[in-house]
Amino acid sequence: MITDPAALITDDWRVHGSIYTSRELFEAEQRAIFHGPWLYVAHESELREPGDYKTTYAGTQPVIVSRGADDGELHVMLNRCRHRGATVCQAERGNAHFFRCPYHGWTYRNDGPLRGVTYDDAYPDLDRDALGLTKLPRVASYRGFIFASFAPEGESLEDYLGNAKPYLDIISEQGPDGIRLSAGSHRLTYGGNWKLQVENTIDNYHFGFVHRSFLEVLADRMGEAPPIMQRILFDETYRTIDLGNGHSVHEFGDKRTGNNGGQLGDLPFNLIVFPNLCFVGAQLRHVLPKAVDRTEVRLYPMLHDGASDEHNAGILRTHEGFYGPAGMGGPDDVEVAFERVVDGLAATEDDWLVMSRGMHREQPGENGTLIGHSADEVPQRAFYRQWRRLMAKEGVR
Amino acid sequence: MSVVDPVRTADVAEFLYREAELLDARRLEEWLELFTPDATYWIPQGDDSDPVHDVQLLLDDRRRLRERVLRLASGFAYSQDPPSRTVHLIGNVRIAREADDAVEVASVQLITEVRRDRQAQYAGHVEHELVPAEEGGWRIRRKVVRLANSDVPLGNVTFLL
Amino acid sequence: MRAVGVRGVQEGGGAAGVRGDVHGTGGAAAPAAPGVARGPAGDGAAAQSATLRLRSEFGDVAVSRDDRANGPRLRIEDMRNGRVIYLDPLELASLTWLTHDRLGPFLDPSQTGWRSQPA
Repeated sequence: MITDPAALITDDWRVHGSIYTSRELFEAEQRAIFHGPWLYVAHESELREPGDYKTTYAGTQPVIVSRGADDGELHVMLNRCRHRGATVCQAERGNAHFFRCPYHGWTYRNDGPLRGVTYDDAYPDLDRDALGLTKLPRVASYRGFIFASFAPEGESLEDYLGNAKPYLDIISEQGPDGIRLSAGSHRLTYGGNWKLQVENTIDNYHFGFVHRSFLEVLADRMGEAPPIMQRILFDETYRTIDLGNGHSVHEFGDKRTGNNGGQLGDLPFNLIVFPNLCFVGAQLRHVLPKAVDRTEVRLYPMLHDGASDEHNAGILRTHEGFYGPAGMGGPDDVEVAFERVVDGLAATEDDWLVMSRGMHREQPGENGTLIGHSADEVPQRAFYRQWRRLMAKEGVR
Repeated sequence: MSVVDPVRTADVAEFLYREAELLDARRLEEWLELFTPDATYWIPQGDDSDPVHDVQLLLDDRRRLRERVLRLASGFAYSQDPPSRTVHLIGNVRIAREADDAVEVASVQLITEVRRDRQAQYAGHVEHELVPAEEGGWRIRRKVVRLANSDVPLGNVTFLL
Repeated sequence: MRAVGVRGVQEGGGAAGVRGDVHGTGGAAAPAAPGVARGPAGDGAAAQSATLRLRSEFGDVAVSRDDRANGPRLRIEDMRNGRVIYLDPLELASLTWLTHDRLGPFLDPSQTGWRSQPA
């Protein structure tokens, strides 16, 4: 059995199937991949007012993201009472200047400090200062996207985001007054590893196969074959880019004005921000690992601030046509790219996969980027380069 | 207080059973014909959700409903390959309101779905707005399926409800 | 006018605190729906006023205007334990000087409804 994570990905891009199935590797990832790097937790439109809070996950750990009642700053803390461990906040979104744990009434200020406990005569020496909700030491926001890190030190968020920044700029500038995540989210679950969803986010190689039925719907709607497959195969302005630090993008032509001809109102590009934040279609996609073989995916349609209700309802209806558990596109990925891969990975007798598509024709771009063809596996290699680097540092017992 | 008309109630219930039979038999083109040209089909996500502001599981006009059926008939809809086997159990059928040109029918439906060695249940309060059909009988102008599990993480609900 | 300070209603101290251990169901954390028009319960000749209900997973209050005194007051009722306070306009104005942190003592359960000795 291979235990060195660096050996799980060879230089000629054979990848070992255990990265999706090993419980030990999953636990190592929680330390190596989710403990140091910046993790997306919320968008500022979800926390506009002092007291606003959201519950979500940093890796597998439940967290509260709040806007301080007095300081108006963003805070991220574990959603776990310091007394006996119950989750303190239950609502997915709410407003509260103080949180009171339902188990025994322990009460915290919404930026973490313990305010008091019930019947405190039983605690003659309670060190309240040491018993606030445990905070993630670094919180930062870039263009409205809020990230946090468990590591007290490390590169800044801006350095971490690196070459992904220009794309985040463009995303945040949609709509006359920017974007908001106010429409709720689709919630998908599947019985497979979280990395299957991230990998599938930029994979034009599969589009003509898995989403053929949607292409036929488009052909019926448009009265002719949709141009997307021809563009994927032959349009040189359709390109995949390894942005460094594990991030990657696929541009559908110009990064501001490009269009994939899919009638989905999509962004001009699909973006992966390592490790688990994606932008595809008109949505922000947050991939939540639950277990080595269980993942929950949240799809948040991005509405346009300053646009009409009709315009924004149109974004929702278009999104629903392809994405979500009842969509005409996304569930085909769940079936083929997740469920059937999980089934196939059980055949461990020969556990090596091939991720070398287009390796020979990667071209260096600006700022240390690598550019490839539309249907090449550049994004997958970008992701696993970073994965292998972080996992090798962490080591596996 | 209005009096329940058992004959009329039985009549609309019979229509709901026939609709369910078509769905369970996967006779989707015939099922599609039950909808009027201006029909909508809505599966809300969550309680009190507003389609203008909140994302839904499914909200189709007749055009997109037809596309959905087209996709499932294409032979390349992998999320329904193999297709789900469904059994609709319908109860609590009531006429909620009679308007000049339409009847609003409320029912409770439990859909058992079997696919890929797994069985799932989808229970919901269903609303049909029915209008008389030219050839007699009814057509559906609006169908709303309020699932109990609509905002729970779901896998694949691409069989039609 | 009754001399009731911002520091809190003392009536029913300990007993109310015991009832205060009973938490209502969490419910959705939604902003209050305005004006459900009904008068304060059991207040006899009370003036009709719209009641605002504010609920989060942590608290549940009904707020209404009270005109039974010689001047208007704001009536606040904790729906989880029945406790009520009336605040006059000066008291309400002074609240605008609050920081949430200064409310701290009122949020410390051992200083309000969950203390072992009576006030």
